[in-house]
Amino acid sequence: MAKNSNEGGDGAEEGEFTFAWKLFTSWDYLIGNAETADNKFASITTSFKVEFVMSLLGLVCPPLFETIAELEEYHPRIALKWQLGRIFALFLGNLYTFLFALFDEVNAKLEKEKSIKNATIWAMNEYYSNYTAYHNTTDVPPPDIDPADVIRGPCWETAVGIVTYLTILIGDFLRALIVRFLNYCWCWDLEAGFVSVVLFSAP
Amino acid sequence: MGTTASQLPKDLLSEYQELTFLTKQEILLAHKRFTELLAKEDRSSTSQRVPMEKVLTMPELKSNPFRKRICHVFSTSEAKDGSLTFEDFLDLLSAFSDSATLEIKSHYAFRIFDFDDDGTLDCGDLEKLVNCLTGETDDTRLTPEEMRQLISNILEESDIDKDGTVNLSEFQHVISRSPDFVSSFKIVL
Repeated sequence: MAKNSNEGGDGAEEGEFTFAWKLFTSWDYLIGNAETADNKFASITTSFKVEFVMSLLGLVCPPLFETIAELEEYHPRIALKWQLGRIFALFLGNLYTFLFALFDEVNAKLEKEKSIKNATIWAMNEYYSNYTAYHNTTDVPPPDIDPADVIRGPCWETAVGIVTYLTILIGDFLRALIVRFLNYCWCWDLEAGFVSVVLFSAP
Repeated sequence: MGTTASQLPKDLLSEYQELTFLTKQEILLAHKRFTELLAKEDRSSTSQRVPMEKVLTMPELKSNPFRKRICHVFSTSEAKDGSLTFEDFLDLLSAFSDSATLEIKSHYAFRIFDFDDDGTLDCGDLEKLVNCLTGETDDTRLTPEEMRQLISNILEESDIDKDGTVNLSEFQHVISRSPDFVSSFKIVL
């Protein structure tokens, strides 16, 4: 069932190199801070463990449910319902992994924010003491900075929001709309062939 | 401080620009940082080596679990002690720069991960690699059973010719499809 896993056709199939990618490409060489590195270690370990559970579920669940359906001599409709329930559970698992990735992102951004804040405070102190020393007055006007140049921290809320919206809106919703409505006037059957909406891509 | 930049002759600078992926500013900054690592009396000579221990103290490498491997891979030292000349150092920065190609980056990544330098990633290399990525502390380490499972999964995914190791072309095959590799394999001064 559901052979049309994602776009299908050319390119790497989703999940083809899950473990290898995690091992070979997950370290960020720009990390230059011991605390961030520790967070990264913990998140890599967690992601390995989560991936284990997922692959185990994928290995064990389908045969199990099939056997149950067989033994109980379920009507195909009931068996299908079971299968859909299983897929739903797997999707929840995916969402869980996604949330973990987001937490990771938030931690990294908070780290950066802290360092930018420190640098800003330092620069302001520098400005005030320099001004006092140079003009010999304690009445210091606020620094002359264009509003566009004011130092800002990284806005993790925006980054996370953008990722979420892109994933859900473009990834799923728009594709579903396009496939459903363009299908009436398209050269091939969109729902069955290329760019089909994958509702049930369970193993 | 101001005199360090002028120590790099113009012709040498333009040669380095030709040979690396670095811009003029990046090379000058690299030279400044490199001379800071050298002892004062050695600063005049150009082929002076910085010992690995000194290189590892740089903030850009300090928290990197592969820092020693990186030094060994880019070092041209005969004694295999991981010490770097300025040209080794430029090589390193060039491979980790923004403009280096996927092929170059994946080639060096392979050599960094090849802990025993035998030209292929075997189980021992993969185990060391996993241990590097999960950190030193016990609570983030994988259990031996998890480790065995992980390595067998990885070999199943990437060992195309089923010889029990991942060679360079298999490695590049896996890496080239990864969306994150090029953006994360980067070190900037």
